[in-house]
Amino acid sequence: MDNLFQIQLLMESGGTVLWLILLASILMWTLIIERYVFIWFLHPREVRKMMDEWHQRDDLASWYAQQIRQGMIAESRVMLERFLILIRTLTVALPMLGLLGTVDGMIQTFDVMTVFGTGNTRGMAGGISVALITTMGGLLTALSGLYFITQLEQRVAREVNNVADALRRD
Amino acid sequence: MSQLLLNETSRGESPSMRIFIGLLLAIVVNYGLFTLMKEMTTSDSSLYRDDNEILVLDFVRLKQEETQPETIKREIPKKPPPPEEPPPPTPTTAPKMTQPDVQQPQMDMPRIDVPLNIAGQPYLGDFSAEPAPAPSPTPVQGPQMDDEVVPLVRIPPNYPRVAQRRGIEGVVTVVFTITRDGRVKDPQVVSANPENVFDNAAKTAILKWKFKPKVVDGEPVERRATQEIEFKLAR
Repeated sequence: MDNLFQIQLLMESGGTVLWLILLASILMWTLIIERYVFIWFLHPREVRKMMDEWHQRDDLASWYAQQIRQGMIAESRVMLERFLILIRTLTVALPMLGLLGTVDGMIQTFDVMTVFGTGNTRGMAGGISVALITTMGGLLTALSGLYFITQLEQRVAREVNNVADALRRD
Repeated sequence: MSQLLLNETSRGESPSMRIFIGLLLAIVVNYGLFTLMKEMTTSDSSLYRDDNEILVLDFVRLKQEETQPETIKREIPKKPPPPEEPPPPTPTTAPKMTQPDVQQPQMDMPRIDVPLNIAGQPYLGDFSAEPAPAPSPTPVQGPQMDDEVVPLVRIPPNYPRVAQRRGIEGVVTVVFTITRDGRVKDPQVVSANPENVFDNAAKTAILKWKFKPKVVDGEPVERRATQEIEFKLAR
């Protein structure tokens, strides 16, 4: 409970941009976890279904059969790569949101300076804390997602190859 | 795309179910991330606590209180016996020599006797009290030891250009009033050597000085004082 209160204080000192960062980060992690659930639990089932369909066919070597095989591989590729570009975009956008917060905070700081001069350090500190906390939030969330999106992309490429190998032509 | 969605739903679990699971776990992950951020921003709370403890220790120290000058000042007036009646007022031209007490070897203090004021010393430091213009009917007190004229701000005077060109040096003695807030009021040149060369420069300089006002019974009081300003060419 105390921890939640502290985080609420952090959000207040971070301003609106930090809320944007939090939302983007939650969206990114939702999609990452959704992808992992799909690849670990659902994808093997799909592969088995495809193999059953494929091996029920009588001819595996005709041109028609080749086109159907290509279609199946493409379908599984589409299903595997579903949110990857969106996740990749979010990992790129999060540090930029942090930079946006930096600029926002510095503008607030200079606003205080134009009104009060350099005397009102407390008002200036508010803007500077907005700048630094949003920067930190953007960088930290982007970094946390970076490893997982890279791993997902490699894993998906490998899985597509596995599907192509599973649908043998002999 | 719609075909795909239909396919997926027909094949098994809907994507919305997966996204819901993902959302729950994502909230947990971000809670962790923001806790980490909070730890990073407020990592110095322990330092503050240490500071406070150190401050408490500072507060307890007694040495500082002993070395405060105020206690010394309180003790000194009790020690010397009350002095004799001050001598009758003498003209300002003949300042009377008084040997300073052995207890304060380095302080140059004007000795002010309230009714008939006497300029105190040979030029030991900068200051000697000016004789009071009129005797005031107040009871005679002992010489006040805590009564030193301390310049807080000294502004060096502007060297007059003519004198600078000709290489003239000199000394100007100025009489002025120290107001209750320590500023300087209506300065007058008493003696100048050479005359009428440095007078204006000395006056404008002394107006910018700040002094510690004289305190009687805890209240600041106006007083007159003299100050010698030397004009020396730096070579």
